[in-house]
Amino acid sequence: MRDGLLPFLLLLTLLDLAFVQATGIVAGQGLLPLWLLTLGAPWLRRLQRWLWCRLTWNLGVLLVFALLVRHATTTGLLHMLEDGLVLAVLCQVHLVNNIGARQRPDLVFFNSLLIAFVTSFFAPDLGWSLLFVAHAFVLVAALQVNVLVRRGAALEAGVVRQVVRHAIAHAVAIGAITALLFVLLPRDFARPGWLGDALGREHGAEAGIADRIRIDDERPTRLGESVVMRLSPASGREADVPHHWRSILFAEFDGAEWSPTAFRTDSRFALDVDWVATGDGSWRRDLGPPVAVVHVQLPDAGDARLPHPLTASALRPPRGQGLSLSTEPSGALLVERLDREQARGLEYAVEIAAGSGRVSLTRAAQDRLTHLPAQNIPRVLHDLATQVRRELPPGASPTTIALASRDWLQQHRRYQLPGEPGFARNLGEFLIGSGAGHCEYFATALALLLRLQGVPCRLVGGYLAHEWDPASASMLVRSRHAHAWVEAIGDDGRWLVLDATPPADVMAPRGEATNWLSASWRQLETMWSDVVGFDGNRRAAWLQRVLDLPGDLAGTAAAHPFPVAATLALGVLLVYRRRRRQHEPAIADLERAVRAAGLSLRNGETPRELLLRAEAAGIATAPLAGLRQAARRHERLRYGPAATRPDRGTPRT
Amino acid sequence: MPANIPASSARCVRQDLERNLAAVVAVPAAAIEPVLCALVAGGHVLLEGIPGIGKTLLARTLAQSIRGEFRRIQFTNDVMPSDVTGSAVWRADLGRFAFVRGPLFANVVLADEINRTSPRTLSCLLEAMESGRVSLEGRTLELGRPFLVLATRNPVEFHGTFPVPEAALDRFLVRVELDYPAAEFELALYGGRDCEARLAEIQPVVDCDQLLALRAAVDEVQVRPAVAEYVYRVVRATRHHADVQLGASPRAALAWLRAAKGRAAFDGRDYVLPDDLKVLAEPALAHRVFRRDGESASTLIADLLRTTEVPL
Amino acid sequence: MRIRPTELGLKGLMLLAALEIAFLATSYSNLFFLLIVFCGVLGGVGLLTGMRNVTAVRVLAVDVPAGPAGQPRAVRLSLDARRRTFDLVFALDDGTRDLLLPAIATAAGRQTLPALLPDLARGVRDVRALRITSRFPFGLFELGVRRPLAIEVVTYPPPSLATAATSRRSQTHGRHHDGTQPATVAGLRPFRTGDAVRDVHWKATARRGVPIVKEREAEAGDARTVVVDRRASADELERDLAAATAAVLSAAAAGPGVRLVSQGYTAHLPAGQPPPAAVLRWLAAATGLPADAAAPELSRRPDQEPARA
Repeated sequence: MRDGLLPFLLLLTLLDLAFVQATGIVAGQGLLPLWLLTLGAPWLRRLQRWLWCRLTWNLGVLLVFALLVRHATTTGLLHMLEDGLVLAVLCQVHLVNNIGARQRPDLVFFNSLLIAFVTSFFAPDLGWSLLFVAHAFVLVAALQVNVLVRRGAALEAGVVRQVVRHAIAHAVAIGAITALLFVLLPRDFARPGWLGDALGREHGAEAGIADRIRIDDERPTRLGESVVMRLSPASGREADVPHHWRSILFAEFDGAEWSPTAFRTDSRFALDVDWVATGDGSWRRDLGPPVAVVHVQLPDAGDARLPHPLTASALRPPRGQGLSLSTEPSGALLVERLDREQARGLEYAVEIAAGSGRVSLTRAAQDRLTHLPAQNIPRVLHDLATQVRRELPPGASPTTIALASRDWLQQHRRYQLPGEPGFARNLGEFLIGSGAGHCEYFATALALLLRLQGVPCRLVGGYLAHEWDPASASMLVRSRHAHAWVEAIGDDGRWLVLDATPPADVMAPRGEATNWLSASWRQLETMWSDVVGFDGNRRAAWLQRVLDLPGDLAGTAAAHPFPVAATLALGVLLVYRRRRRQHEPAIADLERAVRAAGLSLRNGETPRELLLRAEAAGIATAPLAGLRQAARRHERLRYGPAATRPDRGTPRT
Repeated sequence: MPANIPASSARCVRQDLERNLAAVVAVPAAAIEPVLCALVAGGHVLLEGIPGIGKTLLARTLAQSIRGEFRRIQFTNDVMPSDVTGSAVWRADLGRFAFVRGPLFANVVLADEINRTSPRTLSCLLEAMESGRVSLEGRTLELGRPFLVLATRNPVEFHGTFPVPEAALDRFLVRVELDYPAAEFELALYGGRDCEARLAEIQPVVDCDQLLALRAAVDEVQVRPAVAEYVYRVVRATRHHADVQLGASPRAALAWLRAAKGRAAFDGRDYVLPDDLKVLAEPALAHRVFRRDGESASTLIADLLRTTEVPL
Repeated sequence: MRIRPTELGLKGLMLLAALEIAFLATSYSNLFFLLIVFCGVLGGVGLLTGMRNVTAVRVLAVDVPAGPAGQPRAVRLSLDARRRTFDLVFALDDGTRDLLLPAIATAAGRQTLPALLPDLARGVRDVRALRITSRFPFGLFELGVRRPLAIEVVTYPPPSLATAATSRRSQTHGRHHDGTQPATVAGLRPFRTGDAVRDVHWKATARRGVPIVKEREAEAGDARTVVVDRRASADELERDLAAATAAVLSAAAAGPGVRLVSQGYTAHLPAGQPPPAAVLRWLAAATGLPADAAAPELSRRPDQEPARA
């Protein structure tokens, strides 16, 4: 490797480190040594002259390698990819510090590309995308410089500048073509893959509804921006849309994990008012007269569950679109045989009653809903229960207990997302208060507290609808609005919605864009979420937009003829001026005059010499005069003084 | 260009100088042009050619034409620096040292056969040429203004000569190769009157102050990008030529441009034309480009001028 | 145009294939798809840009002077580049082996590039094409175009071996009689003042009626005669040719003129002039003869009148 390439390889390695740092798989300052080693590579490389330095270095690399392998083998498959990433970036740092003058840096390029690939699984957020754009530029430039230094000649700074300029143009072209192909190439967005989902999304925990909830899962959560549900109240009033939309219900807790209600479809365990199919394809249950109707749009009904509020009394699919639903006894609604078309977009209307229905729990059901796991219950839970009860009268009703417990948690525990500093490492820490927790912790804590005090309850996974979009008079529910809360049986035998998470935290708007910078960042994030969540619908929309473009432009031109004409004229003027600058009229005139005289400018001939030749050749008077005039004008404009003064510079022809 | 030297008068000066020189010496106009350009551009001239073709006469005519003082230094290997610059002499009558000016204190100095003198003396001469002043025993004395050195190099005899280093050659703005005069000049020479008689009849064309004003005009001459690009193309071509060991340096290019500016000023223009550059390329560059085979680079530069495109 | 993936390109293709397999093995992911498309487009853009780069150059002339074997020599390429180009390698294609001119062109427009031709063995090569190859921009592909060309690359023997061989194999004719006179009579010429009486060729004088004297070798323009007997073994022939080359080149530099004689070939080189291309070409192309072939004809006079030094 030649010196000209080193800066580019260094940049690549720094970007690789940034990729890995952005995933957050290495805690804290764990990557600091690698950063330092990379930044110091120009000096450290010189140390490799000495044998002991090389020995120390290689031993160190081997040691870290052994540690990583040991870590990977002891922690299981889960961390294999993460350790692999660290190993890859270590390899980059090693290479950039050791690659010799005669060695080819192919591995650096490929390794770098692979790191970009793998990190896209860990943290495909906007930061990653920006890093990748930078990476693409540097990679393209590095490849180009690599080709030139291969020839062995020392690269002049001017050549490097030229190459970098080329590389920027190339990278822009590559990016544009990639974007175009990304939009245009037809493909199956729901392709399962040979290995199924086993390897798929296991590591990229995005906020959403899972089949199970593991409460000690501390992996960072991505806050997806994609809209998963659009709730439009028939009245157009925001207040008519309930906040809590249930998707899945959990009743079983084994100390670490909530699993869905494991009841069979046995009426003995019915926990909710039953749904009944009616003749017109809709489903109803007896909760009293509806107070509001909300139209629900699900762009992606992939998991076949239909979110609905606790107080939903009827669910009507659009006319002509029969839905065969099945209900779980717990109350969740599932679409049976969801066909492709439906999976890509489902619409239904939900009628909402004033309150939930009264249920009479069987003994078995009551047992289930107050069951506590034999182990893994933090001791602190009992203390907490005692503390809450101490503030209540001795014979407090279940509703009072439930509300008091909820309020206590809301007031005394902090809300935070996994991956942020200060997040609790386990439920115990959260309960003690030394660590903050997210909605699952709050819900679990509340559920356990209630069960400990004999109040039947269950955990609900669903969405917290709170982003009102005035433009479309609808509530937008994004994947980051996924939420967990608790439903408990109140005094009157009706289910209560108990959300222990402080609403100020969870329902807080994501901070108003205070300046153009954060506004554009927000905009970029939305755009990037469109890329990550690109699907058939978006592709169709984009294609439609492209197809509509000529029509739209024509429409715009017809609507605003003057601004459009002015813009076009400005564009033509700019192009013309650029052309003019490239090919000055004085030169063009001279060339025309030379052609008219039947001559051509020889190599190494000046205009004056040409004129002498023309005079000697005895050509006709008119073209000669034209040539003389053109040459004089050319000389004045091209060779003459910058500020032409009429009294000077007349050539002596 | 200053107002006291109108464009037409600069051209007249040049024509008169050419007429004067043509009247006395049988040197073709192509060889005289670089000398005049160096005179007005404030450079020095290296004359090369066999003895006896009128180099001294050329210098004397030039000196007389500009109403300047002429001195000649014949270099031999025992010429000392003080012989050139002058030295302090004890004046018993005055009771102190007095400085006796050497032959360098003139307007036109003919330094004959500079390859015969020791490097020490040569470097003294070159330094004086470069700075236009002489430092002696703590005193700095200005040389004549204008100050033009016409140096000659003896190409025939190499016995008892010192090689003139490349750096020394670089001090000369132009190098002019003088060959035998053309037949008609030589015949006119034989038939005409005595050189000295003709020299005596020469009328000064311009005085030193006017020449200095002209010289100031040279500084005003502009070089447009297209012309600068031409300079660069040619200079780069010398560097990349297969036969060239050492191409033209940036200083060579600057010297070339300086000479071209002189020509432009003499022509009454305040801008340089590619034509100026083409005419002066060989005198200004040939002694600054070194071929592998040690031959003169004149033909090579002529070749390059033929093949290098002139930017329009 | 010839397109060949380089080692880097092959590795890249394998990586792309592996990534494609991984892509198909897992469920669809937009980012994965995007990255694979990026890699593919990188290769495609590289290919197209490389084609533009390599076809941007028009070859105006290739000037390859005759040069000695075993030494690289400077050659000049005259080009007209439509745009700035990078990493162009020019190779003379002579059908047997490629003669490489490692030159990197980086300017636009008409230009003459200095290049170095690597050392060659003695011979005359008929070059029919100039091949231009480039790995620009990304080094993934090597693209090559052929531009037809018709030049001869003349490589004469290396003159550095000369002095040793001269005395041994090549006879330098003009042995001296009693230290003063060369023995061999080179021809006849009219009498000039100062000619020795004993050199007068009486018969010829009588025949022509004017005094005619015998001209000796030494007088024939101080020319040395270098005889190359091509019946020698291959090694010896090379040595002889090297010696002859040295003599020819020294004649060009400053030495005496040289008469070069071999079977079916005679040339005369006056001193102080560059050797004609034909002589160098003969030296480059000379081949051995069977042992029973005729000896070189020494008695024949060179056709042209020798020039005097």
